[in-house]
Order: sequence, then C-alpha cells, then structure tokens
Amino acid sequence: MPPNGAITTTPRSRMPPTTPSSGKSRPKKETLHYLAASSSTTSVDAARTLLERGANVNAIDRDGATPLHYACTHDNVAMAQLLLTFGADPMSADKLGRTAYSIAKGNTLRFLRRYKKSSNRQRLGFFRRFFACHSRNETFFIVRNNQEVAPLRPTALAEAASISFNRGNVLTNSYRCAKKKIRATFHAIRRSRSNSTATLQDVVLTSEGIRTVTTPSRRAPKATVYAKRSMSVSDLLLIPDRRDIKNEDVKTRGSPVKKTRGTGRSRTPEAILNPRKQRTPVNHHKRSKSQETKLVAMPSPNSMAYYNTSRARNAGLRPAPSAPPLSPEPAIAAVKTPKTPTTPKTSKGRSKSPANTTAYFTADESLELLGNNMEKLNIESKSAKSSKLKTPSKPTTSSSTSFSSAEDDKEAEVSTPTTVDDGEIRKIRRLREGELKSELKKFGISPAGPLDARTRRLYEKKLLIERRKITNRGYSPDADVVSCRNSPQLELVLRNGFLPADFASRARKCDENVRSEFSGNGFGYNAFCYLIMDPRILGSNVENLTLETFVRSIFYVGKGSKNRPLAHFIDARNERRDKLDKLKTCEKLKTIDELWTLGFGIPRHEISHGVSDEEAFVREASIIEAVKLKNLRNKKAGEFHGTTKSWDNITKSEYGTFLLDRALSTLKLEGIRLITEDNLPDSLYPYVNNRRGAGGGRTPKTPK
Amino acid sequence: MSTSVKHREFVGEPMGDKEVTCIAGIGPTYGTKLTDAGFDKAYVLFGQYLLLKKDEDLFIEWLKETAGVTANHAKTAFNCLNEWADQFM
Repeated sequence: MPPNGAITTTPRSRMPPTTPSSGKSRPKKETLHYLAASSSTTSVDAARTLLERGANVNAIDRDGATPLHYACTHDNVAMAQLLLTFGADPMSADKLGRTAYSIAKGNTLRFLRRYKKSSNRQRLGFFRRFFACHSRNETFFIVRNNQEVAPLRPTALAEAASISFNRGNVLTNSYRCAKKKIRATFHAIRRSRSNSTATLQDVVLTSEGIRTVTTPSRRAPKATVYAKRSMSVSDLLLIPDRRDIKNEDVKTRGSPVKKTRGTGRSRTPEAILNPRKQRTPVNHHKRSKSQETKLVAMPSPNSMAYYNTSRARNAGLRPAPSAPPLSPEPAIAAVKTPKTPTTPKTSKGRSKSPANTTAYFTADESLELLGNNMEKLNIESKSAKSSKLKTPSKPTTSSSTSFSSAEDDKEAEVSTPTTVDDGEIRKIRRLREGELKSELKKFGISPAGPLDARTRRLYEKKLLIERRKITNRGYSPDADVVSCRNSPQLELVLRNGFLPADFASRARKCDENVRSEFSGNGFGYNAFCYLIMDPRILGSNVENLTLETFVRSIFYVGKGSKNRPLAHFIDARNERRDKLDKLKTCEKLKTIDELWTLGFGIPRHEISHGVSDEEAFVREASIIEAVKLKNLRNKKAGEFHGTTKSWDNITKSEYGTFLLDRALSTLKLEGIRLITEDNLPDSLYPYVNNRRGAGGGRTPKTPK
Repeated sequence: MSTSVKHREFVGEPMGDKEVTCIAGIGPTYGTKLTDAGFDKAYVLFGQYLLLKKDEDLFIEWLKETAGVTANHAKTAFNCLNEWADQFM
C-alpha cells in the first residue's frame, strides 16, 4: 500500500486491485484495502464476498488504515456502506491519527455524517436499502434486527449474513418493504427519464430482486453511480415540502427523523431529472474534490476557490470534535453566503438530504416558470381564438390554472411545439386504468392493450394527442362522447342550432375538395345518396322540422345509382311477399317491413344527385360518421376514397354534419315523399328495364 | 416498397431464439440499447409489439423512447414484426 500521504494527494482515480508496485510482498490481509479504493461494481462484489468469507473488516495496513479509510478517501459510498454494514469503525484512527470519518469526502462524508447521527434503527434502514438495491445475483441481504448496530459487530453480522446468504431465500417483511418502496418510485423515475435524453439508467425488477442496469456510456465510476442510483430511488420516496426545507435552512439542525430517510442522498435525483443542468455542478464538485485533496497535504485554505467550491457542502457542519486536525476545517464564512434561487448549489447550507432536494426543486422551478409562461400564452391564444371564432364551447382553460405546481412534464416538450402543457397530461396521468381505457375508447383507440408501467405512458401520450386534436378545433374534449348519440361535431351543431362559421368553412372546403377530386373524366355521374327516415319521428310538418328531429329520424343512409334508386324497398317488398328469411336478418329491411306493417309510408330523401360513385360513397360515409353507425340500420360504415381516406374522424363528421344540414334544407324545399309497398315498381331496375313503367315510387307525394 | 435482406430473412422463418438484432431496423447499436432495457431476444420485442396491440404508432413511439430508434428504423422494425405476425400467427 502506498503511504498515506500518497493516498490523500493522489487525484481520485481507479486504484487497480491488481498488484501495484509493491505487489509481490503484498500481504493477503490488505486485499480489502485495494478493493476499497476501487470504485467499480465488481470490487464491491468482491469485497462483499471476502467479508462474507470472514475477512477482517477492520484490518489495518502498515499505516494503520482500515479499508474504510480508503473507501472514504476515494469517496466510494457503496464500498463505505458495505464496510459499515460489516462493522467497520469510522472512528478508528490510523497511525497518523486520522479516522475514516475525518478523511472522508463528498458523498461518503455526507453519508457518514448522517450515519453518525442516526440511531441504530435508522442505520438498519440504511443497510437494508443498500442491500435491497445492491442485490448481487439472487442473494440479498437482510440485516437482522441487531440490538447493537452502532458499530456492527463483525461476528454477529457475519452470522446474520451467512444465514441470509446461504440461500436464506426468505422474503422477510423488511426486504419486501424495501422492494415495494423502490418499485413505487419506479414510475417517478421512469417519467423523469423521458426528460433525460441520455437515459442512462434503467432499473429492472427481476424475480430475484432488483438489478440496476447501467448503459456503458456512463462516465462516472460504476460503483458510485450504482450506489447513488440505488439511493436516489429511496430519495425520491420522500420529497420534503419546500416550506420545510426553508425552515430547515433557517434552523441549524433539523429533526433527525428527516435526515434518515434520504440515505446517501446525493445529487442523483437532480442528475437523473436534469442531466444538462447537472453538468455544471458535477464539474464543480470534481474541482472541489481535487482541491480538497491538495489541501489535506497543505492545510492553508486561503484560496477563495476553496471556499467557493466546498462551502456548499460543508457549510453549517463542523467536523466532529473528535476528528483529528488533518481533516480540512472548512468554511466558516460559508454560512453567510447569500442564496440566490437560480443556482442549484444555493440551499446546500446543510449538506444533507433536504438541501439536495431543494436543489432539485430549484432546478425545477425554472421549469415551472417556463411552464407558467407557456400556460399564459396558451390561455391567451386560446381566448383569442375562441373569441375570433365565436365558438360557444371553449376548451377548458380552468384545468390549466388548477394545477399550480408544474411538476416534471415532459410530454409537453415531446409533442408539437405549438401545443403547450395545460395540465391535461397530469389529469390523464391521474386516471385509473379503467378510466384511461374508457377515455381511449372515446377516441376510437379501443380496446387498448394491457396497461402496465411500460405501455401506459404511450397510451397516455396518445390520448393526449387525440385530445389536443379536438381541443385545437374548439371542441371540449370532456364532452361525454360515449353517451352522446351522435358524433361530437353533430352534437355541437344540434346544441347550437346552427353551424359555427369556422366549422362551416372547413366543411365547405372539404366539399370543394371532394367535388374536384371525384369529378371529371373517368368518373361517372349517376350516383346519389339517400336517407331513409322513420316517419314516426319525422312527423309531417316539414316546415318546422328541426335538424335534431331530422337526424334522429334517419335510420338508413345509402348510396344509390340512378338505375336502381329503390333497390332496398323493392328488396323488402319481395322479401315480404315471399316470406323470406332476409327480413329477419337484415336490419334495414326489418325496419321497412315493420313500418309498412304499421301502415306507414316511408320517407326517403335523395341528396347529392349526379355525382360519381366514389363521391357518393364518401358523402354517405361522412354522414354515417356524423350520425354514427350505431344509430343507423346500416350494416357497415361507409368507404372513403382517395385523399378522403386520410381525413381524421373530426373532419369526416364535420363534413357529414354539413351534408346533413344541407339535406335538411333540400328536404324542406322538396317536401317529404313517402314510399309505400304498393307504389313500387316490379323490377329492381325501373329505368333500365322500363317495360313495365317506371313510375310508381317516383311519383312525388305532396307534403301534407 | 422493397424490403431488405434482413427483413426477408426474419420474416421467412419462425423467430425461435433469435437475437433482437435479427429484426430489420435494429442494428448493433439499437440492439445494445434494447438489450440493456431487457429486450434481448426478438421474441421479447415481439411481445412488446403484441402488448401494444400491434399498433404502429404506439410501437414506433415506444421504440423511440426506449432505445432512441429513429422513426424510419422503428417503422422498419414494426413492418418486420408485423409481417412476421401475419405469416406465423
């Protein structure tokens, strides 16, 4: 082992666990020391194996340093925790009188401070969490409820360890509890991940336990990352109120209970959430570390740089009175530094969990500000839009204001820049599984696949996009689509009694497109659409007919061609005459039969004369879309052709509504004509085989 | 649209125990990312595809999020799995 001076002055680097310069004569008992200096996952594993096999955790090298000294001086939180679990004493001094605690730095120092203050029970929690996250293979470790944990007795622990390691696959409550907690935070982490583009971590729950998977691109040393991450999981469990944090900043010491929860609180929460923002603090941190190491050798902390860097971490905390003088005595001035809310470093006056949480919040505060501004913009644009369009049903802006705290909201960034976060995504996230499914159903994404942690976000996003589509057109997405009889577009018009201007102009444009697309060379002109209505609903007063009654009375929307306009009626007549089965199976014929049996003539209204087949199909399909298939006796929804295939549902039903509105006016002009069984032509093709005279059904009836 | 050799090879036979990189559109880089995410075998990815009800948008979106796959590659992968499903299911 290199002399201690060397340890403290060497910049933090990976100490190879392989033979160093003094290799051959290296005594066996120092293996743990070498491992302790290395910050890789494997070394933690190796150390653990050694300790399980009975290696002395408090072994000293020739300088009197324990492995914990090395772990602390190299800021190996994971290793330090492991060693502490196995009973390493942070207060044992080496030959120069330095204790592990005194030479600890960074996260390790922070951890040790908390460790020192915490009760035995709380320490158990540390270890439990540590092992729950750091379960190697299928083994996991449960610290038994030792009466005396303070410095954990190696023997007692080894015993406990051996029990649980030797296939002590007993899922004790404590383990379950830890696992549950961690799992509970997954969602939070996963969500936060969508922000961190690099997506560096993935926590995988396996049957054996919890494994953290690191992407190779991670720059930081693995073991530390490992530990940090595992801690961050528990960190996210308890995010103190912002008010609490401020209070704690004012107070010199917080309640011990609070401190314990965020074991090994590190920057990770912030790192995970805002990798970009994290960059600066990281460099900062590193710089401070290297300077600190120098300072150990040359303890004259005069440079302002020193104070600038480490003050945040050390402020407000004196080293323990027992700590030997070698430890850098930092920062008296530090406490006084003014706190600006923008820098993430600010409120680290206390170098423990709440401080970091504050940093997390402050980092987020900018987001919040941004979000609020965006929201304002959004509301403005919306109100401008709605006033311009005079649409009565405005998108609900109230929702956006009700969510005051802007949580991490990534979806807003992901979706198109024009759409802004208005709290909808949060609303969606709060939905329970069934609710989300029924919401999706409203938008025709049905039935949604299984919703689990992996798929749910996707469905959430999809729902959001669908909702935004609707909101952008001035409809309220919260209108209960399922219970609505017709499509929301038609419902809107029915409610208003007229076509909103923007609505009409959009539909008119569609109409123009359809007209130009499906006419001219190559297209026929002998098709049309027709509506068959229920006379009982329609009534006979055509003058005062409202759109609503009209729509409700329609039970069939058809597309016909000129040479067989009455096909269905003739079918029905024939079926009736011959008593065939079709009357029972075919809904529309059944209805016709029913009405005829009751003695009604059936009103039939032709629209869109003289168009091509395709156009008639499109028009028919649009009307069906507007009225909705379930309200009709049609067997299937219509077909769309050409570019209309790419229309979305809203466009389709808008166009359909528009056509219905026009159909009503033509109906008013032309009057109702009723078809009875008797006045039908014999032939299915009255105009082609005109021998018998085409007339019957075509003779207009005067409106009553 | 003509399909790649990889696509045809994948679609041509049961996927068995193939690696995830055997799926068209998933190269070594995306393969590593997906493996890290736990999707090491083609059938695991196929499972995700089924889990999303063969929905193209959702699957592509998922691939983008999980492994940063570009839209184009994701679409290729989707087509590959979709065609496999058509053939063998």
